[in-house]
Amino acid sequence: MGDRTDLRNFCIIAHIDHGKSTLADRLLEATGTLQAREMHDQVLDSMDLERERGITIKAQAVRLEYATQDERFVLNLIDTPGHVDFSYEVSRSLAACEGALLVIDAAQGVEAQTLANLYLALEHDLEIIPVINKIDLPQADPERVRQELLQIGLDPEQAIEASAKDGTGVADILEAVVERVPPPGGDSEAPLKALIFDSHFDAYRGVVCHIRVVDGRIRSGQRIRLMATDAAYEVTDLGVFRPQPTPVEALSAGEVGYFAAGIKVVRDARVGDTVTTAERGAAEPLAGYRPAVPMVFAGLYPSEPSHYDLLREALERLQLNDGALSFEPETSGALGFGFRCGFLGLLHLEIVQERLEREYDIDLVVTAPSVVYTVHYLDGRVERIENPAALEMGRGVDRIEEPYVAATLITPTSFVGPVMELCQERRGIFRTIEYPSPERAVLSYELPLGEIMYDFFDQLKSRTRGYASLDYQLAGEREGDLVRVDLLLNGEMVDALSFIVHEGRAQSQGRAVCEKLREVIPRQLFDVPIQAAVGGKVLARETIRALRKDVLAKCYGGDITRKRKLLEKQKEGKKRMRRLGQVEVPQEAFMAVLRRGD
Amino acid sequence: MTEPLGVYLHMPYCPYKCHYCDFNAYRLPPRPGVLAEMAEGIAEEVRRAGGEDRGREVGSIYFGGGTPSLFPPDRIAALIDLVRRRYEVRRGAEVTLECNPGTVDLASLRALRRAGVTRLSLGAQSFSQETLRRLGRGHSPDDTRRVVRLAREAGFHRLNIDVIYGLPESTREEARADAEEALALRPDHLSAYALELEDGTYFGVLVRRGQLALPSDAEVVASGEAVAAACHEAGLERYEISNFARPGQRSRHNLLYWHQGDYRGFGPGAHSHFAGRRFWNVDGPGPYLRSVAVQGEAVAGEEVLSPAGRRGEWVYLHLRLIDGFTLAAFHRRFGLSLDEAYPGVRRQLERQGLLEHRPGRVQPSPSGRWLLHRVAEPFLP
Repeated sequence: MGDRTDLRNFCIIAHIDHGKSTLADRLLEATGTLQAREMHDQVLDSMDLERERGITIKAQAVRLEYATQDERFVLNLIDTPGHVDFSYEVSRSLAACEGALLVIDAAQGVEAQTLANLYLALEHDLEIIPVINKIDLPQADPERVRQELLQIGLDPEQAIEASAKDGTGVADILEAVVERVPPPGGDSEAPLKALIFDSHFDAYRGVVCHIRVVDGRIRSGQRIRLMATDAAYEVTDLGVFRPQPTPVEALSAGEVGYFAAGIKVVRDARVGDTVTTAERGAAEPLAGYRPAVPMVFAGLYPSEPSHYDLLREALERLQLNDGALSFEPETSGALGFGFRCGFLGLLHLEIVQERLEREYDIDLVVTAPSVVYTVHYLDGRVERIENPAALEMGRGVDRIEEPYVAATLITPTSFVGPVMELCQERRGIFRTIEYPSPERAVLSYELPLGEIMYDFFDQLKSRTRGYASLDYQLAGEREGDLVRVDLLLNGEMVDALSFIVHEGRAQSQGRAVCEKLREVIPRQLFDVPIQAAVGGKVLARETIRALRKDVLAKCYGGDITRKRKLLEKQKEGKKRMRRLGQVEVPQEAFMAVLRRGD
Repeated sequence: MTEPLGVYLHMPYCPYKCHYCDFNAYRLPPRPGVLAEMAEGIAEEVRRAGGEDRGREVGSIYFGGGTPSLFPPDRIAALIDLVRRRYEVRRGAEVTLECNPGTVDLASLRALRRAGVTRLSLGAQSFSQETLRRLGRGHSPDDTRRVVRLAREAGFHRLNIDVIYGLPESTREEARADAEEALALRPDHLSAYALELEDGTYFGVLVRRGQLALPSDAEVVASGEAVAAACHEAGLERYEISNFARPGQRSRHNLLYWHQGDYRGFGPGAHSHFAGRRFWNVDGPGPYLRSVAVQGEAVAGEEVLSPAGRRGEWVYLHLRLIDGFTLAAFHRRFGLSLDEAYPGVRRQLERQGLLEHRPGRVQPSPSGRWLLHRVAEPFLP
């Protein structure tokens, strides 16, 4: 037992849309941390993008003050990201807590992310408080959810029924946090060990690290050291979030807060790193640190070649705040100068793309994302291929390995067939099937990451009428019969369109991409053949027929303005196109590979 | 340098709305006095509308629509008279009236001729009964033939016939046959327009739903060329993408548009171009009449182009003419050469085969004519 028996550190975990953010808002309101009039929905999600997409991208922490009749407590609510792209960040947030509210939608029941998050929380020995949320819904079925809780090893009696929407059960939840979540352990007299569970960039203070002090004490003005990077800094700001940043003199074992120390980029204060004192610091860092490993790579090119420097600056700025984003300059025959960027997943890619376009006003051409392949050459060389165009096909390649994930799929039993069929189509390796309740099946598969990146989730949803859910984590690499499919436009290979795919699906996917390209590339003044080829052998072909007519017949009653505007609009659209050889190609063509479907 | 002004009068009512039409035209409301009210409103605008155009020399007057021939000839006569008072109308000015077969008889045609109309433009559109039905036209091929005969009898020597090609499920053979029927009536001018699908028209909706198939672009182009060949054989020369005329019979009024000349429009939705400014009236008959009653005019919007914008527009408009334009004319108009204004563009278009290689002249090639928007694009700002 530590010295702060009034402290409770907890988080909320849930499947997407089960009401996590709304519950967080209610807790802030109920503890008077924010007045109702200050509340705007989902206070904790501070980025616009987060609010628009209804997902939590960056974890945050807020300090709540809660009093029972005879005791006062400090509750630290640590928010966690809710998407599989950010599961490492989730695990670090969990490591900063002693308890978790497991929020389950009373109508939807246990879903894949519920399970994945529960297992993660149990790995961190967290006290779990199940919350059956949305009991105000007409289709709510709390009894069924209790059954499912039993099946997944939780005590249904311990579950709290609540409605974050109307406030039902919020008082019980606060009570349970105080009663059931243990106070933090740790020794304030031991050498400092604090876990960075999040960080963000602030224009004035540099990187602001969100920390949980595990042992010892951190003080304003202290010299500290980040153990993974072994860099030393001086603490310039120290405080807690209420939720506004509020300075404090010191944070001791068990406490949660933030510090700034003139750290220039978020990457230097990586989530999961351990903070200790520069002098007589801790000998061993906290367990569980992992460097950011991008899973998905894509080329980002400025539509306007002269915006290359702007793009680099924007990426550098984004990286200040996003330690998982990586980028390297690359050159494409088709697209010119750009960057090969690494992302945690497709959602991360989309967020970065949107921020570049929205916040930095840079028009981008984004190539189809690819996973990383490990290529073993006969001469013993091993290469990591982040860009399909870099793969040297043909002789010399011994084998290619691709990343796999261990996927958990939860579905109503009536859809087990379609789910298995989908996994089979995507080269899945069946592992187990379990039935936590008579209506629900939990399937485990190993699947190639490259096969589930694009439309797997959409397919899963459409084949199960939206009922199935998915969660996955990386599970090593396996050898595959992989080939690179090249696309030729007007006889010229377009490197930015190449993709790597399983041999058995090369032809069907090559054809699908050709068809997509034919749809999205406007007609030119001449016929444009589109071909898909593997190693020079053409698998599929389409032709964009030449444009024959592009003129309005009549000028009606002297209305020149309308015609000219049509024409100007047409010209404006063209400015957004890329010229590949003689062919004008719109930006969406480079994403055609993404939508190749089956 | 001042070319005579053109005057356009927009007569917005039709007896029915055709299936392809998205013009500013309205089905005639079944209420007595509508035409008189409109004619009076337009007259009011001609009398009262402000502008430095008063007293200018006028070379052409054009009654467009809608269906101007729905209006009683004395209303047309009164409007022409008002135009004469506002302007200096040249002797021998071209006065055109759009006329739909089935809306006139010998007496009304004679009255129009007496009123000073010198030229009729007949909306024949097709000489196939079936096609006319599908277009939603309310007249027959024989109505068109009859009105041509009556027009001659009434003293009209200048006749234009409008035809449409590129109709759903039509072929180049049909387009040619149609043109030949029109030419058999020996008009001195023929306008042949490719059907354009517009959102919100009956055709537009049917095509979008997949219930109507348009011919391919290649077939439309072949149809247009078949019409052009028929005209050529009949002695009508193509002078604009869609217009053909016997020597000396080109439409002076329409040429003003292509020459970026000045014209003044009256009536609902009418467009004007004067002293470097384009402006236009409100579209709807009701709002138009109310505005004219109060203010004596009904301008809804205007546009003043930048010098580069005007240059681009001038080139774009001239490219519609079969002869294009001379480099000298461009230089005269803008005080710099085409190559200075658009370095390398002309050569590039010649290389792409969109412009003819003709010294001193910029002229679309036969294929360039059909790709005019591509040809014009580099000249726009």
